[in-house]
Amino acid sequence: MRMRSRADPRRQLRASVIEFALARRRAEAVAFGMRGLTVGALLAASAGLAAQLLGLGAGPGLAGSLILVALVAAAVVGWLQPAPDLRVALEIDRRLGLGERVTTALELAARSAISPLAEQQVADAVAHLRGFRPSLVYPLQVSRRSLALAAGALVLAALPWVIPWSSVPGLRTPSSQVAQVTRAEAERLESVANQLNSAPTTLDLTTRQEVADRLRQAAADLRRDSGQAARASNDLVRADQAIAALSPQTGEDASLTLARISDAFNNAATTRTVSAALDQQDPAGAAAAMSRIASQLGSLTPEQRNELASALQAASNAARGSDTAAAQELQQAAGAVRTGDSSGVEKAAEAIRQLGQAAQAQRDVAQARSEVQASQQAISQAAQAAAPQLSTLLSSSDPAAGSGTSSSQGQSSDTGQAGGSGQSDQGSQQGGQQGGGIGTGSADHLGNPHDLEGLAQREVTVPTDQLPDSGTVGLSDQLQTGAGGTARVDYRAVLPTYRQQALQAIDGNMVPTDLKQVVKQYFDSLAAP
Amino acid sequence: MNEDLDLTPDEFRARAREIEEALAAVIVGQQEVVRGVLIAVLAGGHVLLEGAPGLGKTMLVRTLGEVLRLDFSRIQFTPDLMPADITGTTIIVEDAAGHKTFQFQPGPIFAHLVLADEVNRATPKTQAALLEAMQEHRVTVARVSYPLPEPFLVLATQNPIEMEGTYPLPEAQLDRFFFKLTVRYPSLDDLVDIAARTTGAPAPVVSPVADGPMVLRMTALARELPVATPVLRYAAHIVQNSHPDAPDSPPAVRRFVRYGASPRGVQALVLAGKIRALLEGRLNVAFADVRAAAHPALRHRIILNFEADAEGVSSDQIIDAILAATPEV
Repeated sequence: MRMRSRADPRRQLRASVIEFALARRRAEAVAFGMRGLTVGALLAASAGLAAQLLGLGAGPGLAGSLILVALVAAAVVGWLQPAPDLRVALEIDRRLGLGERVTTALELAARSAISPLAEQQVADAVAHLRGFRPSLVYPLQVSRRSLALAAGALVLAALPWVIPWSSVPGLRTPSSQVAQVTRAEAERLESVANQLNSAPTTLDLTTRQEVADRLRQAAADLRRDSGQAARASNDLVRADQAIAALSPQTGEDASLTLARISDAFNNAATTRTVSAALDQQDPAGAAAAMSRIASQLGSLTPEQRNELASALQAASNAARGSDTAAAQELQQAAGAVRTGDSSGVEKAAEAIRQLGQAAQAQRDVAQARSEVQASQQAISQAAQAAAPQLSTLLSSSDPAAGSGTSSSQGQSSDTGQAGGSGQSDQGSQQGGQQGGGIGTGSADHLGNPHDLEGLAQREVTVPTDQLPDSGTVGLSDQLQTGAGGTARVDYRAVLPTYRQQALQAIDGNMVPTDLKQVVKQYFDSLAAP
Repeated sequence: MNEDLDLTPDEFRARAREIEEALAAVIVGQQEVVRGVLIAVLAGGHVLLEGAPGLGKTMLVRTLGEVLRLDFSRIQFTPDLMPADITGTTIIVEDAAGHKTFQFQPGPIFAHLVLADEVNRATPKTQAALLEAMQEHRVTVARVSYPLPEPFLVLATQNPIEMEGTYPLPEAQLDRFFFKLTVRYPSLDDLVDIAARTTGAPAPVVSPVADGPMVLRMTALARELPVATPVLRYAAHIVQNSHPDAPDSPPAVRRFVRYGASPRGVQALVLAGKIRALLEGRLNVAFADVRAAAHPALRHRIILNFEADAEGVSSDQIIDAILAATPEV
């Protein structure tokens, strides 16, 4: 009796197949991952192209995410691919050239009782399998073709983000139109900033500088995001908010406060010079006039002082609703005038100067915000104008779209002596549908059985009352066959059946031996194209 | 493996190699035919050898009988050969007491190895006499059945059917042949070898290397060989695809085949595959074994139509198309 080995060959075989199955799953995960990478990259390329051409606010991050998701998903799918043991065994046999040893042994190993010869076969399979590692059958390597495909797809995915679409000559895309407007607006904001810097002022230089800086920043952002309307719009919103933050916080507009103060000062003779300067939008001049009044305070009569104090009090009342700090300064100045203190009047001058600065800063901010919002509107309009162009572009490729009239013309291939005359239903159809036409021609070639094209395109007349069901027919012909009958079926439709019957008759010895070849050649000639 | 089978696969292979070498010592070239005959004999099947006269068909069969030490009988089929000339007949025998009794006189078919030479020269009636013997391994004469000796192997030769004075074998009888082997014209080198061997000193005497019981044991061992289900399905799929109305049959089959192979075809494929696997040193049947057996096992079982005949399409071409169209799994 033959000694059995200590390790059960059947168990060894199953363990080996499981190892190979695991290696197969790993290899499948890698292979699927590569395919996923390729597909993801192609999707990213498509998305990038669409984003660039449509001016969507998608960045390279979207492409990267698409690629990563596709890669991981495909690898998971590859790992989860079912790998039945029998399939694995067949693949092992095929790839290692084992002549179905493993497949047979695996099947035998699953049985409860097997013959000694079968046991020998299992041991033989295990012995043959022992020398091979699973990675040899299922290597974790990627084919050059897969690598090349993935690399090509990755390059395609990167292209939409690398190509400067807006500067491509001759390419007029919605994105390029938006980019053109965006760049123009950037230039305009830049020039506004320059104007702010160059305009002379003795008031709030700091705020003006900051406003100009914000405008320049917005212009730079617009240049960077040109072509992407959504991003440009976001840039401008941020710039608008930043500029608005620079505006001095007053209860109401500082210019309005100054106007009220001007009205109050206009009622007193001593302060009319201040009022006049304020009316001329010259807060600095008004402050200087107030300083002069302070210096002359000692020479004023008590009535004039009272008048001045009343004017300052009135100005304080006028400013109270909008600028409490200035109102307080003016009230203190009014009190100081009554006591003959000139420093109080100087404080009033200072308050006017500060209000002037605030008014100027508010004007600068308002102007800058107005420019920014104008840019925002211009870009938005450009994007909206581009969208219909895109839809038109897409719809123009659809032949069913539009409202053109058809102008098809039937044509007969028959160029016999009688000549073919085309007949069409021009303009009778709408919606871009193909017009139907039918040609009529002479019947000179009726005797030629091989003129199939001529037959196929000839106008036919079929007596519909002879048809079995409806009056519609495919191709038929007015060939007069037999005793005045009308052929109603194209002979090509029935030829295969007749030919088959003829061949069966030949096989069944119903055709004389010396005529078999003749009969076959006849049907072959009919079937010839 | 049965307990009474004291033959191991290695011994099977060694003995088969000895038989093959003994045959090759006499038959020049024709390795494919020799291998085919050996496989068929070890499978217990009958062989139809087709080839032009003078290509060594008869010598091959005779040598096989000598090598296997089997009772050898040769029947030369002619148009006037009668069935009783093959199976035997009942004759009146008078004993010493003068009593007359009917006694069966066995015909030449009662042998282990029967050479039916030029089988297609006899009439269909006489050819039919082989039917029962080949399938049932017995002969019935006058309502009495007589078993044939085991192993019983019929090796028939036939000339190509295009030749004058031949009667093509009916499909039913063709199906009973395990293999149909085509004996091709020898190559130039083989012709030189034939001339050298046959025109000099007398050919060496072939010594037997096996006998009938050994052949039976080898057949039994081969039948024990395991076959995986995918391989069985592959063989069945090949046979199924030989039918023109099968769903996966290739266009060539649909056009040129009248009748496909019978279930005996799949039996022949698998059994021949088992023998080949053992000869190749394997303990299981591979797809390649089935493929290798496809031509000899199916070429006489696929009946072509007249169109194939007219187009010059052969059964082997059809089998090539079937193999190409049949996936392994």
